[in-house]
Amino acid sequence: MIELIKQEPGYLLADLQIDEANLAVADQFKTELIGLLDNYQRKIVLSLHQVNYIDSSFLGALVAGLKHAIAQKHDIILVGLKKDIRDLLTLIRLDKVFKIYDNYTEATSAL
Amino acid sequence: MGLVNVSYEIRTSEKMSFTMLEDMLTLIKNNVSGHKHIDDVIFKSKYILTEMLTNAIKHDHGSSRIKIEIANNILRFVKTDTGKPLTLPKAGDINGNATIVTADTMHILYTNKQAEKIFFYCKENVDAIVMNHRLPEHFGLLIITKAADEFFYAYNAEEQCNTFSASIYLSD
Repeated sequence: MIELIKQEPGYLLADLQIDEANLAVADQFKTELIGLLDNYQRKIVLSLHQVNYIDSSFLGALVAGLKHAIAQKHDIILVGLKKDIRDLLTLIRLDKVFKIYDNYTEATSAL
Repeated sequence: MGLVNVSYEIRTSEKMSFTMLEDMLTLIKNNVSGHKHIDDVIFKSKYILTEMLTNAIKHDHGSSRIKIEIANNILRFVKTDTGKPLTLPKAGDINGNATIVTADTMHILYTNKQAEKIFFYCKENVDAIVMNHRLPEHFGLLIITKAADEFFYAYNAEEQCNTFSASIYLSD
């Protein structure tokens, strides 16, 4: 589900390869995300550019992953969000919790 | 804007149906196409319906129905099911007449009971968000509360029926 695109000393670039980010895949996503954090011990820049649908279960898994990263003094940065998904994060103020950029280049420039 | 009253059956224990979601959104687009904030209406409808569909699959025993109504400048989504009644946590009171459901670094979600209906409301915390292990992980009720202009829950004990009703006002 999460493909590792690039591994750098300070961060990973990763791509979420699903169209529908929902209850059915939330647990698996959380396990994979936490696995990446534990194995690589660095920030993750996660692209959601393939995601067209997202629900609260998946957002909960995403925040659980962020909390794991915070506990490790790392971070999860989101890129490539479709407009309505970004608007949803804004609606429930998750745009204040996650760093969000348009693409990998913008995100890595800010790291 | 046309009058709409269409009901969809959602069988539980099924995979989330995004085809059904798209059908619902197409129905809304076709009937509120003249609204000046059509994009906002569709955005809010998408996430209210997504959460109602997720709730149907996650919590219910048996089947659920989601009805979409457009009448009197109100777009209303009504989900009914015969699962267990909703149990809300109680995190405190506001001035003695509202019950806090959740309170976290970002929001206070609270309810106010009027007759047999439990209305949901939300306040944003003005303080800086604290980034720690207490960040919330449950957003379903919050999304519907913030996306809808009115959101309530009711339980009919005689018919053992849960009703969630979320409305978007179209008058602007």
